[in-house]
Amino acid sequence: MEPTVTSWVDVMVSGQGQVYPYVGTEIWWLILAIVIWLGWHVITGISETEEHEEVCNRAPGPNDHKNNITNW
Amino acid sequence: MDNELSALVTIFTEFYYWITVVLMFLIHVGFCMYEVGVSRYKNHQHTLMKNTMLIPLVTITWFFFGWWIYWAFINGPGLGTSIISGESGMNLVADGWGANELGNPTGPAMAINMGDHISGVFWAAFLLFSWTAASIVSGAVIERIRISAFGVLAIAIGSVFWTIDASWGWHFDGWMVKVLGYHDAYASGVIHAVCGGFALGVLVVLGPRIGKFVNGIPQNIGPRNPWLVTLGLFLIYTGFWGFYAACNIPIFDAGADSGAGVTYFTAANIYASPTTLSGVTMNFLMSLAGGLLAGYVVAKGDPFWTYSSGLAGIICASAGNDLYHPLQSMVIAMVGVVIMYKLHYWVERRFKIDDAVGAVAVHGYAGVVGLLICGFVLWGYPSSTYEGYAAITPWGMLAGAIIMFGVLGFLPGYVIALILNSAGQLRIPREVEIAGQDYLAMEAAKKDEDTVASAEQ
Repeated sequence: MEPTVTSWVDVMVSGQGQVYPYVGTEIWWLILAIVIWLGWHVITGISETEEHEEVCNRAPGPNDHKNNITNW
Repeated sequence: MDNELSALVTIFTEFYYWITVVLMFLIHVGFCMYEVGVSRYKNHQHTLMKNTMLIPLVTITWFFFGWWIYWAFINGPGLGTSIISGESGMNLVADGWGANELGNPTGPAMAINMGDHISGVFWAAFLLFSWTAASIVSGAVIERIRISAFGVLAIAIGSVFWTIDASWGWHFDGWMVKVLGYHDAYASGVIHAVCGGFALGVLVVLGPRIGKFVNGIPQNIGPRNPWLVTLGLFLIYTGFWGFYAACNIPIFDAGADSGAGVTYFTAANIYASPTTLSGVTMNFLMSLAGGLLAGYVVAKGDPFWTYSSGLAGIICASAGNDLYHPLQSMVIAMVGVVIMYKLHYWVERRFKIDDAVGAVAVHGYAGVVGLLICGFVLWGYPSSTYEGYAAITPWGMLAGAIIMFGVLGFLPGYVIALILNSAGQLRIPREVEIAGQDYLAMEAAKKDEDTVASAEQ
């Protein structure tokens, strides 16, 4: 596939606007981005639930976290 | 651009908005510091991540559909008629000003385009407003909301509902400006009231933190780190400068644009009406001063509320800060601060609402009061330089306040929170809230520390 820009002189003379690669494929990039976005919600929702279940199973007290304060 | 003067105006405008974006980034830094400072040690990391992750979520959805909504919904649809296209439906193609022309994520305006130096920075300036919108809600719900739930709410307020209200009332062709004479130059309503209302709607469903109310009596929780809160609020003040700058058009021929038949270069507000950055700067500082003065008195010197009152003072005066006298800005800010402070504690006691950072008060109540006061002080002023627009009135601004706080703020926040709650996805389990959201992360860090210490011995 040929680059969108092969000569900056041509861009300036012709008044060409879009200079990014693969002009015309924007819709496919959009679909990919939306899939990534929705997938992110699903993945983080599941992992958050798993984290909560682990804490619930152990049910630490309100002051137990103080034993885990680091002194790095 | 084929001559130096037009190139200078265009590139100055491009750079102007670019700088405002950088300045407004400080708002988010401030909100992160502020929220972490208010939260308890066992929730710090999750609190920080909740606020941080709204940045990418709102950014990508603002790219997908938020910016498109801003340009598409100016007529309601069906509530006004566009002066650009003459249509009353969706504003999709309108002589270069339609949603499909400016906000289509696959369109030429939404990328590097050698023929367009403005769309991208203007998109970015509005995006930073959107982050602020979501961040306002973020503070109110700390220490008990699921991050995944907040992500959904952040997108709803940041890329949908505030965008609709901006399209209606913060656009030179918005129906609320034309029909109601709505005037809100620096967003008392379109950012602050709507987000305060949205936060309140979420809080009603979410409920208070465990221990906030003991036998029905509200208890003070924190702030754990007042210095972080202080720095955070100073940064928000600083970023607010950028916000004010971003609400203006820096160089604009208002005479030619309005059809007045004269050349009248000026700075203009979001409605393309003339103002001066010089005067607005005075008003910003005087309303900050008024808010701080009033806050110090009503809060009896409490630093948290004094700083917040400085912010609330600016927010209250913002609707008319493009036109007020600086002394009017100061007094209006003071009135807003007293009302929002009293209202915060009344609502807390009466309805058991746990607004952890006072976001509903500082943004919501102060914003609403600012809109109402603006309706009286600017009564009779034209809302635009264009012919046929309604003048500013108290009842137009009251209707605007109801739309912002109630219709586009409280209602969607309440309904979405209700849906998330009914699916068990809104609030963290009681055990996690008691243990602390960072319990596992802290435990892992402690183990690492012990392991490293053993190896060192």
